[in-house]
Order: sequence, then C-alpha cells, then structure tokens
Amino acid sequence: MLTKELNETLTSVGPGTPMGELMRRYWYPVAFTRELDEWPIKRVRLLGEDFAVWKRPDGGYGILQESCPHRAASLVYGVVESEGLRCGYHGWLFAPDGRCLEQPAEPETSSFRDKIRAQAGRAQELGGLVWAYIGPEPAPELPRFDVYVMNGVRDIGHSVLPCNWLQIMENSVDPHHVEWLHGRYFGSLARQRGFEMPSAFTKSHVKVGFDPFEWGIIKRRVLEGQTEEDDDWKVGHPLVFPYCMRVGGNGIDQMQIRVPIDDTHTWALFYSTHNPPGLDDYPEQMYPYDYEYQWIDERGTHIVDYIEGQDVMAWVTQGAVTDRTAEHIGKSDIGVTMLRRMFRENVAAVQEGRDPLGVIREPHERIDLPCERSKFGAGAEFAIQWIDRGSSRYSPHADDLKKLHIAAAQARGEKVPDGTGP
Amino acid sequence: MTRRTEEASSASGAGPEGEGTSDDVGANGRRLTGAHWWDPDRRRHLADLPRHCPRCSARLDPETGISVEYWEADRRIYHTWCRSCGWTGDIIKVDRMVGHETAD
Repeated sequence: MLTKELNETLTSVGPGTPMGELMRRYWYPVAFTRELDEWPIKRVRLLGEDFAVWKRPDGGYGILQESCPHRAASLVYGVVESEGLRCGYHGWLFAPDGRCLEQPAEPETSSFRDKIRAQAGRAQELGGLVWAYIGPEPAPELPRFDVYVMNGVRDIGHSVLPCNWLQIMENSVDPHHVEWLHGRYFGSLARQRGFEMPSAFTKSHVKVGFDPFEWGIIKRRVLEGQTEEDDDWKVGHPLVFPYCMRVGGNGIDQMQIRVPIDDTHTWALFYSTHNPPGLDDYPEQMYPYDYEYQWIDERGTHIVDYIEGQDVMAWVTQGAVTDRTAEHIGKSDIGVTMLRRMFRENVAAVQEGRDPLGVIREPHERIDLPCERSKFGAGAEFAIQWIDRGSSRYSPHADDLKKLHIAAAQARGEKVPDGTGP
Repeated sequence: MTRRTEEASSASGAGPEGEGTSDDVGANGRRLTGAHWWDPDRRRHLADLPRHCPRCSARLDPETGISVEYWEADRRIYHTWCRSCGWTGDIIKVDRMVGHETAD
C-alpha cells in the first residue's frame, strides 16, 4: 500500500516531475526505421511531451519539439532539408540541435533567429528501431543490448496500451503470476475453447528470488521438479531498469519494451530475435518484421487466448494508473516492493547529480544480459508454442518463424514437435 | 446520482487528510463512491507510516525516502529506504507479542 502522494510521484513522468527527470536519462525507441524510410517525419509522444522525429538526408535522425516556436504549428508537417527541419507554416528552419537557422519573412538584418532555440533531443538507429534521448546533455551512450545486435530473424509486435508504464514493469518482478495467469487461467480457457496451451507454464513456483545488478534486477525461480542448479534459478532473467525486461530461451531472445508515452499510455513492444541453435544462416531482412498485436476485440473484451494478451489484460484492467492506495500486497510481491525502492533510490541519484542505474557512458559493441537458455525446463517445442500462443501469432511471418525453428530442430537431429513437421 | 451524492456526503471526512474518503477520485479516474472495506487499511497506513529513519532519524517522506507497506499474514511490514543515510530494511508494526508454540 502506498500513499496517494507517493503513488503519484512514482507514476508521473512529465517534465519537471521527480520520475520524469529520472526517466529522461535514458534512450527510448520511438519509431521503426522502416517508417521513416517510407515517410521521413513522424509525430511521437514521449514522457508526456510531443516531438517530431525525422530522418536526415545524410541518413542520421533528428528529434525536435513538435510545436514550432514561432506560432505553434506542428513541425510534423514540415520539410526535411539538408540543414534541418523547416516548418511548413512560415518556413522557419531548425538545425538538429534546435538552433533556428532561418526566418524567411523577417528582415534580412534581423538577429531574431538567434533568440530562438527549439527543444531538441538526439536520435539514432539500433536494431531496426529509431531511438530518442530527450534528457540533459551530455547524452549517455545508447546501450547496445544483445537482443538488438545479435544475428537472427527479428520480429517485433507492438501496441499502444491505455495504462501507466509502471504497472507493466511491476509485472516483470512478479514471477508467481506465470503459473496462475499463464497456467491455471490459460488452462481453464484452453479446456473451455478446446485448444492446447503451453504446458511449461503450469509448474508451481517453489522459490523466487531477486538480486540487484548493474542493469536492474535479476529474477530467479525454482519450479516444481527443479533445483537451484537449473537455469531458471542459476541464471534467471533480468528486469532491465527502468523500462524493459529481457526474456527468452530455446532459440528466441526477447526484449519486452515499455515506452512511457505519458502517464496513462504505454507503447508496449515485444522485440524478438529468433536464432535457434543448429542454423548458421538466417534469411536477409531489410527491416525487422513489425506489426500490431491485437489485445481487445470489437466488443471491447480483452483477447486472452495467448500469453501476452493475458498480461495486457492484467495490466490494463488495473486502470489507467493503478490506485496503490487500495492495494494489499504480500510476501509474494517482494519483487514489486524492491522495484519501487529502486526507482526511489534512482530518483535521488538524479537529484544529487549522479547517473542512475543503467546509464552507460562508455562506447561499446554489445551488452550481453544474463538470460536462462532452458526456459521453464521446457524442450524444443517451447519455441513453437511461444509463436502459436504468443503475440508472434499476429506476425505476418509467423509461419516462416515456425519453419525456422523446425529446420533448426531437424539440423540438431531432434524430434520435430508433433503436428509441425513437413 | 442522488444515491452517489448521499453516499459521498455521509462518508466525507472519514479518513485523515481526506485519504480514502468516499468522494475520492482515484488516480485511474474511477470515482469511488461509498465506504470501502479497505478504508481502515488506508487510515492505518497513513497513521503508522514510518516518519523517521530508525538509524539516522532523518525525516521520511516521498522526497526523502520510501516506505512500501506489505502484509505477512496479519503482520504489517513497511519496507523502507532512507535517502539520508541509505538504511534499507523492514519496519514491522507489532500489535501483540506472540511466541511460537512448542511442537509436540
């Protein structure tokens, strides 16, 4: 249980708020590179502020406040030029760093433009996504986490959810929900509707553990039939502070990304890289596959016959912002308790002028995150189930992904899961 | 509409500083009308919230620390961090001292 004041502090990300200042120390994905190749300017909302992100003629990217400092028309309807972004309304031209370079209707001798500076951030590409940083300079490095740079076939499901990002992150330090939401509930639904559910999720939790580390919190579990020598405990997988979770296993590496659009909307992406052992080559991709996963039907009912749809139900039905003044959390929620403390500690770090957890300033090639390989002790069929009963089922390339895993299993000399062979 | 107004009116001022009162508009925008079974928990939460660090005595509030209340059976536990000295630990509200019974 929290006070209303503390709940508001932890869930407000607008400019000038304590959490807003913390969250502005990180890079966020705001677009697919594909989008800006199809049209060079996109409107994005991030941490409660509106921006225009654009692709420069030199191949780089820029991000400026959406509202033109002149008379507030949207720069999304601007013109991309070699020197920057020109407002479509009166032609004011802005450099990527926010300087106003031209004001065509002002007297030639005027120095008025020197007075103007648009709010500018930084933007760059990684893993088929355009990432933005809108915090204070100097900007940290964009962390090159393994999922974004490793070889494999990339598949990204995404959707905008009408809820605060923190309630999604709290789900990432709540191992017990798996055996209930994705086990008992899923099983009940499967029996009613006559489909098969992934069996790996039905195992009971014997023990859960949480360890802080340099990128966030490592979540560990011992399931029935396992010991502490199994990957699920020995390795675990991390909540990547402050807005991601790394998960995977059995040839699928995934980053779950929760971008705070504002206090009541989150862009929730499931970024998967399929790289099953046994294959050396993967199909060429100009861009990662990207698509929207469906989570609500035409009647407004949550779609809960797949794993992430169940998670979305649990996140969104808490309300736009979870009212934590009415919650009753227990010993099984200590991961949630720990995460809230971690946020509070890092708010303090920023207020004291220090870098918060997970900010990296050293150039690097790749950051490998700990992640169990043998997920839930399940075998090779896990990958197929993950696609069939996960958000990847909405991928236009779901069948290709399944064929990739079947080919890999055959190359490894493994038995192909029933009903999936050629 | 009338019923909502009556409920809000009858329960107004039920909680300290207005917290948990029936006319509260929750953070999620849902209007909570009438008294709730969790209102006493909200009041106890506010009443018992640690106000000072047990180690350095610095004041604890959202600016200077954090206390998250969780339950273990009837035990009310405040997981607490003090920004001033960095102390982290659990503060447990004790209502009654009960020891273990000897096993047969």
